[in-house]
Order: sequence, then structure tokens, then C-alpha cells
Amino acid sequence: MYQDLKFWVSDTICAGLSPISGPLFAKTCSRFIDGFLVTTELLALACGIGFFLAIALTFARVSGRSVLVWPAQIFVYVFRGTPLLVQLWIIYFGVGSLGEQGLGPVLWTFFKNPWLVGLLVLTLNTSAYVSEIFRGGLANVEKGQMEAALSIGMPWLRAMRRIMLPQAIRIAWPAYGNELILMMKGSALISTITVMDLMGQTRTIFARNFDLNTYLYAAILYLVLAACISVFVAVMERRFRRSVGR
Amino acid sequence: MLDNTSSAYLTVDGLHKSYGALEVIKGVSFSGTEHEVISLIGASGSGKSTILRCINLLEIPNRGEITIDGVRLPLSDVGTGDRKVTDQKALSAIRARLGMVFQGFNLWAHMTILENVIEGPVHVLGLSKAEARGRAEALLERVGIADKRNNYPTQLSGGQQQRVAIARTLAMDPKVLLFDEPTSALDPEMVGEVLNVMHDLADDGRTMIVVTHEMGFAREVSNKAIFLHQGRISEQGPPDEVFGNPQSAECQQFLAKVL
Repeated sequence: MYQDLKFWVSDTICAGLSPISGPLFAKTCSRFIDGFLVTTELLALACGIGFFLAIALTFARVSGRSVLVWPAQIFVYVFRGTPLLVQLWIIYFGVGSLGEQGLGPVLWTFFKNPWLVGLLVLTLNTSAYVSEIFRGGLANVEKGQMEAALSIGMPWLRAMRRIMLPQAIRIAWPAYGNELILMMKGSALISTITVMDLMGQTRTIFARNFDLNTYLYAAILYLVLAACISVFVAVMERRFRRSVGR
Repeated sequence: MLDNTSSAYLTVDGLHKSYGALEVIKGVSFSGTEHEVISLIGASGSGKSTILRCINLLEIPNRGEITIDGVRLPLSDVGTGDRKVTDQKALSAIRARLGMVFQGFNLWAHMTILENVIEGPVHVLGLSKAEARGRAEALLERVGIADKRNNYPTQLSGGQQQRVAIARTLAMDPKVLLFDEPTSALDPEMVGEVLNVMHDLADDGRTMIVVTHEMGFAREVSNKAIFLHQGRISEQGPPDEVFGNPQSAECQQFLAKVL
């Protein structure tokens, strides 16, 4: 059903583009669109799940309880301090090399699937960065906002969620938008663990025709994605501005 | 009546507060009964705001006990380390009954005026949205801001924001109102509108503790004035005595300067 929808999207776009695109693109169009959809899907999921994970990490880091602060702090340090490529290879090839005997049937099903490993690593990676962005946002919310919430008897966690976080996200929004764009570009690295995302498809196509225009088409499709993200960020930013009456 | 500790509703006993080596409250004790309005006055840095913030544990006192309506604030005993809040739930319950109005208003910037006032009743007291809304609209009417209910805080003047902040506090139906220099951040022409609202609340028999530089208000409205000097109470009593016939040299000097 979902797969049918993707085929339909791909067919429709390619049929529409064929009169204006060159013969090379027309021949490989469905592969490009397929890769484009895989990239979009992974990004949406990774950023969506990563957003909530980042909130949990941020709250842990500012909770003042060392059992929460330290694990969260170390997690963020590790995932911000190592290249995404290294994280992908350690988890896919490294953990994956333990095989079914080492991992057991359930974990093995997970770790042998490059798409799932790609999603996992992108999610963990972005949550570490976004948590840092949100922490910066929180630090810039006036202290009195929290005091007003505590003074009416609101528990700390609820005050964080209802009073501090919404304002921190508004403050951190431009930086968050930047992180979304960086994630989109970083996601090209998952092609190195055999995921057929936009970059994976592009490399396969290039390996067949050695036409450098292949990369030009990929660049254009990434720009289309960047434009979508920018529009989303701008629309949200305008909504936020309206909701503080400015 | 004023120092009748047996009927005291709120007792502060032997309060000490230090920031590092700097001791700002050096042993303060006082008590208040229900329906009493207490004014805390004194020069900047005398510790009056800190005392108020200790009463609902926005600051944790290093020593001393605070009792409200027979309930001791849940603080660990003085040991070698810092004192800690021993029961967060109990603290939240106590705070819900102590309304605080801040110098800087502290209205929640991402919420409309109405949302600010229904937030506590809905998300702390567990009222239904409709019930909280009805209560909020009546309170906004009372402080004269009903027409601004759908605006955001930044669109209001300081005086209007402070009146909303008072409405937000009243929406929790608190037993005691704590005012922390409520008019100090206001332009002079807006001080009156806020003081009028506070005056009404005192007339209603609300129990209030007011940290203020408005000596006229302190003298006219309160039942008891406490003059603080360098972290200690140097004079307390009925306002007519404190203002009319101050005994200590510090208080005489202070009043000479501000009156």
C-alpha cells in the first residue's frame, strides 16, 4: 500500500519531468526519486524521534541529579565528538560483525538491516546536537518564568515542559533549522552502509554511466529538499513570532 | 494581637541565609495571623526580598524554620552540607497555597493573558478548562484587564502586566499573598493602578506579606511594618509606631531619606 504510493509518486513525477529533463535523467528518474524518498523518509523519522529524545536528554542534563546528568552528558559528548561516518561504521560493520551467534536472533534482525541501523545512528546523532541547541535555548529563557511556575506549585518537570521548553524552542528555532539542513546533508553518509538513499542511488547510477551530470542531478534534488526544510522552518518561525505578540 | 504566636498563621523562626561567605539574612523571626497585612521595608540589600523568597522556598534558607498554617516547610535538618527539600510534593502543595507576585511580573511570554491565568488552575489544581476560564474572566474583570484577555504579555503596559500577574496568582485561590516589590519596575504613572488592586485585596481580608518601597502604602494598608537593616529586624510593630515614632537610629535615618 505504502510502497504503491511511492511508486505512484515516482511515476507521476518522472512522467511530468521527462519532457524537460535530458535523456540521462529520464532514463534513471525512478531511481533518483526512489532514493529521494528514502532520504526524506529517514530524515523525517530521525528528526522526529530525535526531537523527543533531545528533549529528554536536555531535561536530564539540567535536572541537577547526577544519575541523570552524567549519562546524558556523556552521551552528548560521545555523539557530538565523533564523526557520523565513524558512528555508522562502528555500529553497522562493528556491531554487525558479531553476527547472529553474538547478537541473538532479535538484535541480529535489527543490526543486519542497514536502513534500521542508519535510522538509529542518525537519530542518536541528531538528538545529541539538538539537545545542545535546546540547552542553549533554555539558558536564555528568563529565570523568572520558571520561578513563576514553581511559585504556583507546579512540579519541576511539568514547569519545564509547559513553561520553559516552549519558550526555549522558540529561542533555539533558527539554530534548530540549521541542524535540520546539516542532518539532510549528513544523511548522504548512510549510503556507505549500503542504504539506497539519494546518494546511494546516485553512486549506483554513476557506476553504470560515468556521466558526471549524475551528481548534478543529485545536487539539484538535495537542493529541493533543502528548500522544503527552509520553508518549514520559516513557516514555524513566523507562527512562533505571532504567538508572542511581536 | 500582633504577636500572639498561638494564633499565628505564618511563623518565620531564626531565618539565616548566606550566599557563599556573604550572609544576607542574619536570624530573622516574625509571625503573622490570618487577614494580616505585613509590610517588609528597608534599604536595598537589607534582605527583604530574600526573606519573601525563602517563605516559598525559591531560596533555601541555611538555618531556620518556616511554618504555614501548622505545616512546616519540608527542609532537611542543618547538617554539614546544604539543606535540601525533603518532600517535593508537600512543597508543591504549600506553594500552591502561597501566591507570589514578582517585581518583574514574570507572565509566561508564550501564552495569552487568559492562558496565563488558567494555566495554574488547570495544570496544578486540576480544574476543568471551562471552570478555570470562568474564574479567570471574573478575575481579569476585577483587575480591569478583561478586554486584553487574548493579547500576549508583551503587548501590555507594565501596570497592566502586573495586574494580570495578580489575577494569575488569585486564580490559585491562595491563602497568603506574597508581593515582592510589585511596583518597583513600573513607570510612576502606573504605580497607582497596581496599588489600588492591592488595597482592595487587603480590604477583602487577604493575608498578605508585602515587600515594598511604597511607604504610603505600607503605612496606610498594613497592620504590621517590619523594618530590616543589614539582614536583621531592627524595628517592628504597628505602622503608626514604626513610621511615626521610630526607635532605632537606622530606621530614623531610612525614613528621613524616603519620606
